[in-house]
Amino acid sequence: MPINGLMVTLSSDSALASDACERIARRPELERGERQDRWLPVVADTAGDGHAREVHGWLESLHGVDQVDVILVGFDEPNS
Amino acid sequence: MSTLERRTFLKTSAMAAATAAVSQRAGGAAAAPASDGIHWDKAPCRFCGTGCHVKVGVRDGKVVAIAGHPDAEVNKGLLCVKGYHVGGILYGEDRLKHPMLRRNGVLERISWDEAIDIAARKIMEAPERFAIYGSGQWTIPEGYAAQKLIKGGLSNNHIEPNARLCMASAVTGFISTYGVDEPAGCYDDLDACDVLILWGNNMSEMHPVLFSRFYDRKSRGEKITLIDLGTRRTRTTEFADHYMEFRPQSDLAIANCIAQQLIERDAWDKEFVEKHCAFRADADLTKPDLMGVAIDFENYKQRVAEYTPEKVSEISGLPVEQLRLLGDLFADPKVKITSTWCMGMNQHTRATAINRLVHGIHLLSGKFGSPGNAPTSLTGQPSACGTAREVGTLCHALPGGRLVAKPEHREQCEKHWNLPAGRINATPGHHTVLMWEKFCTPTAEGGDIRTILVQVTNPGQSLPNLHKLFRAKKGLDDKFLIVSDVYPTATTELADLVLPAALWVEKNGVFGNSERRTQQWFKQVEPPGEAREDVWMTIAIARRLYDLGHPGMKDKDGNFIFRFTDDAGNEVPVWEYDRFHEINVDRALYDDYRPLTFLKHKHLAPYDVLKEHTGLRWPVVEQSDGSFRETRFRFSEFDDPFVKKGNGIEFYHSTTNDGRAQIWFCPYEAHPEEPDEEFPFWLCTGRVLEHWHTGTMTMRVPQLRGAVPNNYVEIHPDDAREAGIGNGDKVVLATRRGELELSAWINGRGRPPRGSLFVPFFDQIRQINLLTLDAHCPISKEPDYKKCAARIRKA
Amino acid sequence: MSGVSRRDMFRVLLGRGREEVPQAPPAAPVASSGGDELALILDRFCLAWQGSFCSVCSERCPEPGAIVVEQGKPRVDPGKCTGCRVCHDVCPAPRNAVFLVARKARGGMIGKTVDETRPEEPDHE
Ligand code: SF4
Ligand code: SF4
Ligand code: SF4
Repeated sequence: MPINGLMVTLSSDSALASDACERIARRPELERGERQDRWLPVVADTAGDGHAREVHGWLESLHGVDQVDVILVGFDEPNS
Repeated sequence: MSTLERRTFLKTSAMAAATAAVSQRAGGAAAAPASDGIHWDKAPCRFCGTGCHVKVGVRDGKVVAIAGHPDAEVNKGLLCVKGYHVGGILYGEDRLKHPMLRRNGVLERISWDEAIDIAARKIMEAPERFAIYGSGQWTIPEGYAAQKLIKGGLSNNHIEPNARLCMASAVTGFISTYGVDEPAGCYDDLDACDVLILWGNNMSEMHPVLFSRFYDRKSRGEKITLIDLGTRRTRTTEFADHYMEFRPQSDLAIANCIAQQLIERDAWDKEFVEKHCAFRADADLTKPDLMGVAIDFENYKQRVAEYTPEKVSEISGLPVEQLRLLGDLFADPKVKITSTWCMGMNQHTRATAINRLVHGIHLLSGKFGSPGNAPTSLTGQPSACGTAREVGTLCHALPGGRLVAKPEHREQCEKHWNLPAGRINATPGHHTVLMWEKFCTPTAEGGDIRTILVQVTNPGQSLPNLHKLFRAKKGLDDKFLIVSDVYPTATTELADLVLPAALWVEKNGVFGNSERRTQQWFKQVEPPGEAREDVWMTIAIARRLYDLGHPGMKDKDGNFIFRFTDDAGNEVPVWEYDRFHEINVDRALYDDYRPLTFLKHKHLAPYDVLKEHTGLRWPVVEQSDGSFRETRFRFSEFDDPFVKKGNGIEFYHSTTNDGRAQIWFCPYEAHPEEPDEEFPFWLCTGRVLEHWHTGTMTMRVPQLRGAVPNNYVEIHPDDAREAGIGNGDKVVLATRRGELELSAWINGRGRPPRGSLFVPFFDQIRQINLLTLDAHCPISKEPDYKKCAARIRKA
Repeated sequence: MSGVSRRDMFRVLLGRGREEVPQAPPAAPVASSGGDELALILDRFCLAWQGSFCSVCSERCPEPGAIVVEQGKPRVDPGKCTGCRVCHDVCPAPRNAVFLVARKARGGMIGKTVDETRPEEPDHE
């Protein structure tokens, strides 16, 4: 059950960017931080390997998202 | 920590990391502080004399967050590791919460009424044998109240701050040079100088934010030169362009060597010196005093002549080239030089002398009075300047730069306090070392101090030669030690009466930092248990003395000396704790004190103006539009309103009453305890970045305690090898005064040269001050913690 | 005056200085997972990288050379770090700057493993 801190780079098209933000907000495993300009901090709390991959892929597939950077990977769980 | 908590923590960390990355990417735009119920206010950092300003975040009555104050000129949002954790000092598990009295050797809980009554009765038994010992951690109103109680109320001058162990020599240096205390320059000099010379000053460890401020210029590509004049390699040395390692005590010779070169090369600033300076020396070297006698230039020249680079190289161990480099820099009129120092120069058996000499070379070279050209002492305590020096909580001083020995100064204070003439005693009290020596000496053998009230400091750990000056109190049954503190300390261990105190933002306060900056804050959380404000304790004790009939507790009109009124003019009995907060007593005391600062042109800003700022540098002078303007460069016409137009530079408190500063000659003299066969090492003591003073606060913050959990002895690898000592080995360190078991650290944070050892003093369990020397500067009476002879062996 | 503009001062810290620091005890130490982890210093949390000063991790690391300090700034040498976590436990930064990351890909990890991301360069921009 890893926890990932991500920096999501949003599209420079503000309509697309807002749409992406809203979509991210609707996924329960994703927690949004405070957006600054084109960048949005996101924490992903995923159930496991497959789930994490799926989330990552989904984020990158959003039209309003240009890039996903992994800032921190938390592995202090005894078992993941 | 449960799995769930761990998980929440991880998520918080992950979000913080991601948010930080986002802020960085978004061009450093400020991340708006989280608004989830946190109320933000301001305060100066509780620790060092740098005087950073912090934002304090409070939620549900608790300090929950700290941030560097982005608008503070001192630190611009930056803090050091201690500052980031300053809120944690309030929440150590063993906070003192109730007054306690020692009965049959055990501290037992008593009520505040009893505690105040006992304290007052002890004082009443022999008011002339009572002493107050505080520190530069006193807020200005606290120091002022203590000062008024003892000097104005009890006609007794036995009041000292631990600043005597710290800044007293800077004071005597400033006074004997300029006639008035405290630096002329300020931190802005660090933004403007071309060369910064650190005189035995490990700034990155002790005043880290100040060092960041200076060094940041280098990261921006500015060409600046850092010279580390020191006796061991430190964190700061890493950043230095020139490291000049001198033999302890030989700083005196080095400063004289700079003067010698200026004169020999005919490169001294004749215009500056002729207009603004005069020369001076001690009349009798065996009995040096504060003012000395005038000498002429020829005499001065003759006396410094022997300090040639070649000769000083022999004394100091510095290569001739390095001494010449210093000469070159001071001789170059285009180079702007700032010198800073702290305990390296102040804790010195010839401390006043070395302070004078460093001022002297700046004056002689004209490197004074313009931005970037300044000799500036730094303080270790948050209000060493504001309280100890400006309020004058010293045995010879009165508020605002006045002296008890001067009839007109006593008269001014008596008048200001509405006291009968002659109330203030003309004889200075005991200075720190003497005060504690007398306290630790049986009454029958002349120990004329009987009761001491200690506030906001920890002499049981910070005094030198502790066996003699503190621990010897044990078993002296007629001696009574009253200690107000926030945690159990080495001092409360011997206390007879313990008073639990409010700390930092648990009370109102005003501090004054190293650059003459006065900073104010309000109480933001409640103190724990029954802990109360020190200023309340002082007033409550005074009131109890009044009730017991001490005549000094009344002014000329028969009113209590701490009479405060509300807006309607009715007296508020603030000594009753439940009425104490009806008015802002801090403000009332500050307002009462403020006019006393005008005499020496140290005009403090009004309380209401301070409230609105993250500190202002005095003199703060009212402008024609009613606003208040601070002063960055004293004695310089372009900035200091008290300099007469056309004078350029004017030392308007000159000791010779002619607007001149004094360039002193003081010789190099050997240290009284140089290493010898029996004790072959120099022992130096000091601080570490993570801990402040005796560690009573920082050791309660888990992150800081974890970072540096205990002290150690730094030793050169070759010395270690010869003594069969390995890294981390237990060793026994001994001086003529005692011995101590410590672990050795080779190639650690500091790297002493061969024949030198260094030990930090924050550790309460392994107290290095059991070993240090109480020999002190004859003028400032400040002891030398930086040098004594020691030996070391494997345990 | 100095010629130094206010805005430039502490450039490195702009933004960061305004970040509030929770005044809370540190997380309890977690037992080392025995060699399959590697310490990673996050520059944006590390005091030494952020314009303040600190050297605690390198002073206390039991593995000679595992933390290399240059110009006062630490980084971990992945070849020498044993993953013992000492540096993490002693780090006094307001937010612990040392993260222990898996050497090998582990289930559920988004992104790459440290071996793939060159951890010897703390992930500054
Ligand atoms: S300890 Fe000194 S340098 Fe550190 S934050 Fe406090 S005032 Fe600033
Ligand atoms: S995990 Fe252990 S070996 Fe690795 S850097 Fe940290 S302290 Fe050193
Ligand atoms: S202990 Fe933490 S803050 Fe200090 S240098 Fe190491 S990583 Fe940076």
